[in-house]
Amino acid sequence: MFKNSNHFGVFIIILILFGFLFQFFLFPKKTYSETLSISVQVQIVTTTTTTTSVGGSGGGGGGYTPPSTTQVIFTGKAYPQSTVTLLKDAQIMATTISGADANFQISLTNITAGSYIFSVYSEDNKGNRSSLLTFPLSVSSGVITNVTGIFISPTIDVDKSEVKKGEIIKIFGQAIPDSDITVIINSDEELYGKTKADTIGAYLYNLDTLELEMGNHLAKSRSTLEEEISSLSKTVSFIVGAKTILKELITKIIKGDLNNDKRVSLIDFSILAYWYKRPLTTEAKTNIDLNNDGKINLVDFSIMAYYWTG
Amino acid sequence: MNKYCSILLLGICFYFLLPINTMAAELYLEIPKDEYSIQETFIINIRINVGHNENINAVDGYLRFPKDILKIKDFSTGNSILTFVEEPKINQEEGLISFVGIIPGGYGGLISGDPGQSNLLGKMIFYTTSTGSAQVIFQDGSQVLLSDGKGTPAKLATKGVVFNIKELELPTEGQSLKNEWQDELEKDKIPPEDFKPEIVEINGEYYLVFSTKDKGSGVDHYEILEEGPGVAMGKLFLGQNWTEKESPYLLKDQSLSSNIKVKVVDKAGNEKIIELPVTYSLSWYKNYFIWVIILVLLSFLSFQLWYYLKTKEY
Repeated sequence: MFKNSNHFGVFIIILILFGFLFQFFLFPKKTYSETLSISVQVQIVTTTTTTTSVGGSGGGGGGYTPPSTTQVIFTGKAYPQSTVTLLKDAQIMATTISGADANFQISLTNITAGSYIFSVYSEDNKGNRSSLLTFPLSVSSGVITNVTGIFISPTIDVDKSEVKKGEIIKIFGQAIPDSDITVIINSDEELYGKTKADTIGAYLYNLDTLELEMGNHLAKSRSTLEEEISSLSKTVSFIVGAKTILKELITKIIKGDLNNDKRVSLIDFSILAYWYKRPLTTEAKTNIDLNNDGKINLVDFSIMAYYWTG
Repeated sequence: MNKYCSILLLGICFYFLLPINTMAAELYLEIPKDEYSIQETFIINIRINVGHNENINAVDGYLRFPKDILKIKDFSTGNSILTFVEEPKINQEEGLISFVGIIPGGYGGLISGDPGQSNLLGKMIFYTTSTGSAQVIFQDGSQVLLSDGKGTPAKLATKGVVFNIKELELPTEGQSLKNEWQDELEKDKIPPEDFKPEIVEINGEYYLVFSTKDKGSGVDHYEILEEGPGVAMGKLFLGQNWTEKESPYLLKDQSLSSNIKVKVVDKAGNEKIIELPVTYSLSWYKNYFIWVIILVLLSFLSFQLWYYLKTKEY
């Protein structure tokens, strides 16, 4: 088949190129989880240490070096006048209220140098929370680290828990003002819808359920403003069925909230850790076991980590 | 035509064989050298990489090491991105190490501009006992779960380390044997991070839950002190009785009327104490200490009265 080894080499290169072509363009492989487009830039600004002479005339004078500051400043966009919460290593460290333009800034000072997992989320005017935007960061001693371009995902909710096939279900939430919203419906075939957030960031998408199959469906959204794309919102579920049932505006149960304080935090983690590898009581099977498999293992912890609020 | 078909077919095969885009997560080990000498203490870092557009949130790691030529001295959680579900386990007899932890909110890999390597899961501290070739590897059962709300296992690749242990090179005068871990301990002067212990009800009983991190050598242990009413007097005679405990800790005083202190100590010995105020104050008449004071005062007054009456008689 090959006249010499050079031809064989060329053939192999062509095959590899074909492999790449298939991977990237023709049949891109499915990813296994939601895409998180974290847009964070880190700038390091070494604190300037100035020396001021305080001696009298003719004298050499002493020197004063101000103590160096270790600081991390987080800036980004949420929703207008919304509460923005910052978590450091899974625990709430600070909250702030974003401005009318949805911009916010949070500053952490006197932080120990080391690796951290920071998370940011916001709460809209209806009490719904965005998904957690999480990123790792190494903080160095004596430097100011600026984390910019944080783009909080939209909140999402639906007006009906079950909708009669053919009727409209309203998908709504809050996002960055004037941003473009993409609503993604996870059905057998993924559907996409487009809408736009208004000047206060509110968005609404009327979904005609005529094109959906009967059964359970999931919806999520993301916002885009100029070149920036947010991470995906939380997922909200609804049923297309034979009748219409209106949904309460704020979901009462948060998965992973084991002590019912409307948060998923280290307290819930500790309760789950208590039951880790222990035989479960009937009550624990009902209230603690997050995937209902009769045991507490890493899967339950993974589910809790996904719904974490701090 | 047949030739083109076979190229197309082989291209499809290469699509499935090429590793690009298929890896969701990689657990790997990192050492600075590939050769150590006997009686040397060194550190192997456990790190994680995740594939593009992937997000993971739980890690279960099992590692094997040659127990006849390596001795595991410690496992450090210092600077780890994990929140550990339980204390990492080390077993010298079996040559096994295991750890399990989560990353609340998930981990999507390093971000551009991050000045450090924020992907450390833990550090294993080893001591070389014999010469030979050593291999530290991840075992079957190690798993990484996706942050998808369902705990789906991620496609996992693992990478261990192989290194050589040579005969002891006696240090020259004024030098000591290399001990990377001792150097880290000596550098660590910073106590663990602040934390907030909480009291929670689990299975009908009150437990104290607590967790913190240490950015240097890592948390070594926690100690608890429950101070019931009248403890001030006890302190004078008995001193404070700290006991080493893990979270969640079953409170001795289920009436929640004690002062609780939690001490966290890192591997270098730096410590931090957090005090919890009393949840439910006892009524004054339930406090034994107050009754002791009243009794002492009454005794003193009775004596004074008796003495006064006695002197008056004369």
